[in-house]
Amino acid sequence: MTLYDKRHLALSCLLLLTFMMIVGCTLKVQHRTLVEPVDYRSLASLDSRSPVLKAHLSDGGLYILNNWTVDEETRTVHGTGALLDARRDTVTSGPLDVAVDSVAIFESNVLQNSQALAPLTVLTVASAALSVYCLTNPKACFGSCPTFYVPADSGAILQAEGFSASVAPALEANDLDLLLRCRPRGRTLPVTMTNEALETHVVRRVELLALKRPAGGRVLADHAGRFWQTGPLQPLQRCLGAEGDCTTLLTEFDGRERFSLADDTDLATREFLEVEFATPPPGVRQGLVIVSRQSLLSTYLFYQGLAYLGGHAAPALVRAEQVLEPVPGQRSLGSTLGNIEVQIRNEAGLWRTVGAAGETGPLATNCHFVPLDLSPSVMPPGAPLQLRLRLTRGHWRLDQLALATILGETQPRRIPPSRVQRDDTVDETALAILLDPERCLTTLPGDRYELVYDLPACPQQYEYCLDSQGYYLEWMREEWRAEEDPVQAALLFLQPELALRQLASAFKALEPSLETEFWGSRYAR
Amino acid sequence: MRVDAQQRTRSRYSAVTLALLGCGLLLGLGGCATTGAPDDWLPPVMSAASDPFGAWIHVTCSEVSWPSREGEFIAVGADSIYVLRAHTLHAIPREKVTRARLAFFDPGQKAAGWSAAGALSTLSHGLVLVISLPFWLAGGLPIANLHTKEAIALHPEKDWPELRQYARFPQGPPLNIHRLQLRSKSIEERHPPKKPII
Repeated sequence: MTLYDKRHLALSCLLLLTFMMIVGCTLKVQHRTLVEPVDYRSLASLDSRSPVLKAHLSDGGLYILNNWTVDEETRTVHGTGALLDARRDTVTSGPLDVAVDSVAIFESNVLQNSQALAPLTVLTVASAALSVYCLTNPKACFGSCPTFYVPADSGAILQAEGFSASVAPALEANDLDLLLRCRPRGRTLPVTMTNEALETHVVRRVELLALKRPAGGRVLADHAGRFWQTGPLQPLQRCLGAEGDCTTLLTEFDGRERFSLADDTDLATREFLEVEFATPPPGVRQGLVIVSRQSLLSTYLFYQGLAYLGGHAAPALVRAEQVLEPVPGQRSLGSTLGNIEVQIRNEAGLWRTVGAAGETGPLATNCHFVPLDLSPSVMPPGAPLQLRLRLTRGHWRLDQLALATILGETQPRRIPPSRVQRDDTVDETALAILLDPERCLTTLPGDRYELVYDLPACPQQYEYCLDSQGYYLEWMREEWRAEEDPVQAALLFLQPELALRQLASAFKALEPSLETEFWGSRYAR
Repeated sequence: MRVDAQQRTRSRYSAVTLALLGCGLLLGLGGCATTGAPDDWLPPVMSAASDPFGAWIHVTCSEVSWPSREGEFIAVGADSIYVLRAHTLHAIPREKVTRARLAFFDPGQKAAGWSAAGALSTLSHGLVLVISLPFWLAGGLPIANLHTKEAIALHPEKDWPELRQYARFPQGPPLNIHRLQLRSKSIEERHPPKKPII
């Protein structure tokens, strides 16, 4: 038995002990009821679930009865127990009959589950599930890059994950995240930055970008980092996927997502969505809005790659040019999986890609804007706008598709943090680091910073975007090292198309539970 | 970043230490929402239904001339409540009572013990316990306190007609009973204090 197996066995025993406590130790409370025997109807209100019935007498005496029954005809209570006097000395015991008319008040006590049982059970089940799941699926206990929470209508929500593809120092990059649901209250905006994973985060900069919104419109960002003022969003008319009509899932940014499952034999297999909008006004430039996030497919593959690399992961990442981010012309895992391609028909009626959208990361939903050039030759007047999305099966979760009229390009107003707090204490050092482009703030698992930004006047008139820069380092899990395999590592990172066919069956075995268990354990709060 | 063997060992010891400290904290503080009753007074919940004595009550009064009293809750009268301590019955005017706290069963340490076991189980989460252990600590203590609070009733949050159910004589002060006739729980009638689970 290897050390790994022994530890599994010991931990499994601990889990079993925990489970036995769950089964054996239930938490109860006592619920007491008093009934005055005014008439025969009141006897019916005695709770028969009470194992013991107490009958209090006018002189202070007390009958304590087990196995009690009520004879309504004779107005007598029968049972086995004891009669005590006011001093609580036993007068008599055994089978007893109590005339109801001699009783001043009846008392019943029913045992019920404690209110503490529910949260304790939830904690226990979630924790046990996490224990079992992490032991059996080590790559399912994921991490993330820095996560950012901002105030929204329903409280603080996760709105951005910073530089998700920057998994090594050489891959440090900046990342723009539109804070679509941000609802600032007052003239400051608190943004909570957390490290909720087994990672080291190296954060160079986190700036807030404020973009003046046109009346009734929005400000959106494209893949190149340009900001566009647009009119109001035009709703989707129709969307067809392999599963059929999925229009209703994509008309609003409401958390109801359209997604597919990965292909059984090749994880890089593409799928198509036929998208239709109402006829746009002629001569006005349009852009497609895609609100989406990734599934856990790329994260799984990345962690599998780290597992294959084992002890060689660090030097390999140092040399990596790119891992997760699709780069045209480059053979990489990210490029093989690709982004969401936006296609329109050319003059010959053939579909061609005119833009792409997508961002690495399965946690935060992102809003992407793809400007479209719709020449009259491909847009017959009066015809609805038809587009096609080409994307990898099982790789994307779409929440909304919309069309927006482009009003013009705009520039953001950059706002650095004015204050940084850690654990409710002002952290001047962290603020100084974030304001110095030559320095980086390093965070470890569990770290939580509140970055406060001073907003412009009339803050509700602005769209906000987070510009973060840095990189992060994944901690190698002990369980992963058991899978070290240089050949498979080389295949995954150098021949990803082949690797994605080889890994399809392994991923498909996990896929049904991967999303559910991750989100179930990820957001245990 | 390469995690070498020494760092892994240190991380493992840190994880175990954290989990054990968490357990100790839960067990030590699990009853920090105390009932206030003497250790051996209150019956366990499973036998509280057949306990013939009243709840343990602590009464705070508004005037210096009416000092705080604690003892067995005997009865609620028309204008007074009755508390028995060391065979002495005290009648306290209801209008003088600003606060009262009653404990009617011993909640024990099951909730704290369960939370401690849960905290220990996070050892199986590997380094994820830096996330899951705080949930047990942050959740386990309030849960243990919640269970303790279920054994407690408070006045003025509850009025005296509702609280009378916890008195030795919920029907009111018995007629023709001299106060000197009443006695407190004997040693034999008291319940042994709960031993810690671990």
